[in-house]
Amino acid sequence: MIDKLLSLSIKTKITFTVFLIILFLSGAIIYTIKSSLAKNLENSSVKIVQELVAVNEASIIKSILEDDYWSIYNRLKSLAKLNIIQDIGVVDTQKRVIAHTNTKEYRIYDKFNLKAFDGIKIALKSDNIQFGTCVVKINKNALKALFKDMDKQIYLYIIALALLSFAMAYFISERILKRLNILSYNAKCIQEGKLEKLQQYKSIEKDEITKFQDSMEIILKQLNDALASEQKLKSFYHKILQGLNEFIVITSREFAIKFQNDHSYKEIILENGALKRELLESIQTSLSKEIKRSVITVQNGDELLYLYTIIEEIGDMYAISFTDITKLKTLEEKEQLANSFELIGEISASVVHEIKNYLQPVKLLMEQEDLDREDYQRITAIIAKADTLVNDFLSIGRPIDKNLSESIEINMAIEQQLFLFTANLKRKNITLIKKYTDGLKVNIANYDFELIVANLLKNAIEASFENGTIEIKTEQKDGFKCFTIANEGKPIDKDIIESISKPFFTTKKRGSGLGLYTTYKIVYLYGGYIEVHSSTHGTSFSIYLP
Amino acid sequence: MEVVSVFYKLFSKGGQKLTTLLQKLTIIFIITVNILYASEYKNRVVLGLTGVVLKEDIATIVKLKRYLEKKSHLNIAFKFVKSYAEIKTLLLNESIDFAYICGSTYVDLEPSKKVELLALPTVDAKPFYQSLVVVQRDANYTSLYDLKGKIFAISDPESNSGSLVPKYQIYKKGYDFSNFFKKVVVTYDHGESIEAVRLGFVDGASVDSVVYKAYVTKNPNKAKELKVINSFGEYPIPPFVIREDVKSSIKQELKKAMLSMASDKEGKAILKTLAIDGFIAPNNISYKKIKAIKEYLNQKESPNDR
Repeated sequence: MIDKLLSLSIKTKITFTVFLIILFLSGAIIYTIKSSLAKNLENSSVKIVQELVAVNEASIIKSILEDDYWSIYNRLKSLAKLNIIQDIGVVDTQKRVIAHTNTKEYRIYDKFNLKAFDGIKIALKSDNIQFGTCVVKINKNALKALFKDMDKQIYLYIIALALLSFAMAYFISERILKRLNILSYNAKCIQEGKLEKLQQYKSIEKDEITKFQDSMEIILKQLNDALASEQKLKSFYHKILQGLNEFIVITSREFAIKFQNDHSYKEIILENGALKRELLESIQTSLSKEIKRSVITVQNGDELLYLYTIIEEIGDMYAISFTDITKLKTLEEKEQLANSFELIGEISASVVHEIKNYLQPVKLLMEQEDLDREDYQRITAIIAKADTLVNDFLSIGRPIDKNLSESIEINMAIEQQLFLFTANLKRKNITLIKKYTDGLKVNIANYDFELIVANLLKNAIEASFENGTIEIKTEQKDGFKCFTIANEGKPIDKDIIESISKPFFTTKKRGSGLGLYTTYKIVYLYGGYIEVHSSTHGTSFSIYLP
Repeated sequence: MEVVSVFYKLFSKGGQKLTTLLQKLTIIFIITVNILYASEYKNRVVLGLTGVVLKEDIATIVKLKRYLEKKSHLNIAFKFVKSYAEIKTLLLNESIDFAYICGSTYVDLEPSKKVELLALPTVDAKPFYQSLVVVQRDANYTSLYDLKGKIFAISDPESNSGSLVPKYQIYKKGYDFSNFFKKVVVTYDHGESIEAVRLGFVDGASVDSVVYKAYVTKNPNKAKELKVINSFGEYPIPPFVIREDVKSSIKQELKKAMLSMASDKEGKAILKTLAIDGFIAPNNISYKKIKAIKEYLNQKESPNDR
């Protein structure tokens, strides 16, 4: 019930509340006045009756003395013509009725119970002798009847007041509602962004709603300005986005496209207004590995496109940019191929030159007629060196087989290699500092990973000072799994760092110069990279693998 | 009083001021001549009436007065008194000239030879009437005797129909009237007695049949609340009597006017209201029947008899 009442419109609520308040108030006031008047009138009536009886007292007493009951009755009847008297009678000193206008209840000589009588009792006396008692019942209905006309006027007055209050309440609520409706309409316009439809209303009232309306108007104006400038800013950024060489797509977390700039690759990347399936899968895979920068390939007819993809999380959206690096890739591949030929030429020349260098003393020894035991040992050593050279050379040419990749726990694999280098570490009394991050895994062939770790450990131990420290750290960094091996030792020159990845480059007396080159090659082929830092404290190699 | 008032106004300071003495004298002369002329022009007679007879219908009485004045060229004045006892006194001391009295009153006056019958009303062409016992229509009483121990109204104690007849009937039946009723209320008026019954102030009343008929004619709705349970007699009707010593010319004028009423439209209308057919000359009428009743009652109520 209360819910229903509360759900009524403001107009109805205000109108009826004011209406009822005025109706009840006026009713109560009028009722009070009427009650008071009625009481006063009753008191006055009693006085009037007493005076009337007093006026007729002498005649009634005379009739009592004359035994003329009919005259008494007639006199009483005359008195009873007065509306306020319901019944009037005379009782003699023996408390017997001698005349009464209510002839049905009070017959002549009936006993009258004066004590129990609740009407007016007036002693009929002359010279202090009582001859009887006049008993009068006031007609309360007649008193009420006096109010009958007044009642009509009262009800008319109440109705008029109520109607007036109803009209007033209706007018007030109408005025309030009209203004509230405008406020509501304006709020809706803002909600729907239809600012041009906002209504202005100058109300003559100077009440709270007007103040609220004025404040609202200012807020709306400010909001309007803010929205306009936001719109300008939006179109400014839109223009910038449109002008970019990259194809930018802004999506929800569910990859529903919210924005895209105009780009020729729109049709290659999008399909039916959404990211192409294979593209989406690649992006989702990258995201699941927390890789935000990756190169994704897309088939465009016969052509394979290389897209450098950057995924940025902006609030609850993804901003994905696609940069076409196909040309760059082609160039890179061509350069690599050229480099490879050049490299193979260089390597071949080097290997041949090396082998020739090895064979030169062997040839000189072989030309001797008598070869002693030392000469044979020397020849064997030279051949062993040549064998190492050939083996290393062969390992350069060994292709990477990604099919052999397996999930390798980095920390564990490093530990295994450390175990193999225990003796080397002890020899130089090197202290190991391990800063491992648990649970890091990479997909790589076990042999390849061992080779990387072994090469780096070997170099680190060799470059390390006696009693120095080697720090090994594993971590997740920039979407890559990273492990760093840092040793305390002489810093490496800048020029040397630039050549460090070149084959046959070595600063060691007995190195082939192919170890680091092979490491670089493996890491690169698995999609990773190597960072080298060298300072007065030492040198660190960081391997980043996807 | 009117003359005095005019004089007072003429000469008082507060009265209307007339400018000349001549004007004042002229007015005094005209008034004096007028009064003298009027007294010379008409003989003045006083009609005595009691409330017993049609006091309620004063308008009809006024009409009757005017009619008789017109027809008899007499100046008629009223004198209303409460009882027949009073009217008897007024006739005997010549305060009134003629009167409408009860048969019993006439019986009392007859021996004095101071009054004579003037005219008799007739009902159904006869100068007789009845004494009726009236009760409320819803009452269970079937006769006067059922009202024993009840409240009873009589009109004038001297009225034949209103008092003597019921008394006579009760005595005749073997009851003692003095304690037959719980209370006897005297109304001095048949009409009042009827009203007393109707209003329930009394349980029954004895009334004149002519008055009851007039009451029924005038108040048909009220009459529906009443019923007659006894009708006693035929009794000689109450007569109009006139003092013996009134001028015979006046007597003749009055008689002539009364006897011719029934043959006159205006007179007929008045008679109808009075519930009588007309008036006849008082020939061959005897009030012996009433006289007998009175004697019987006197005997019953004399202290010696008790």
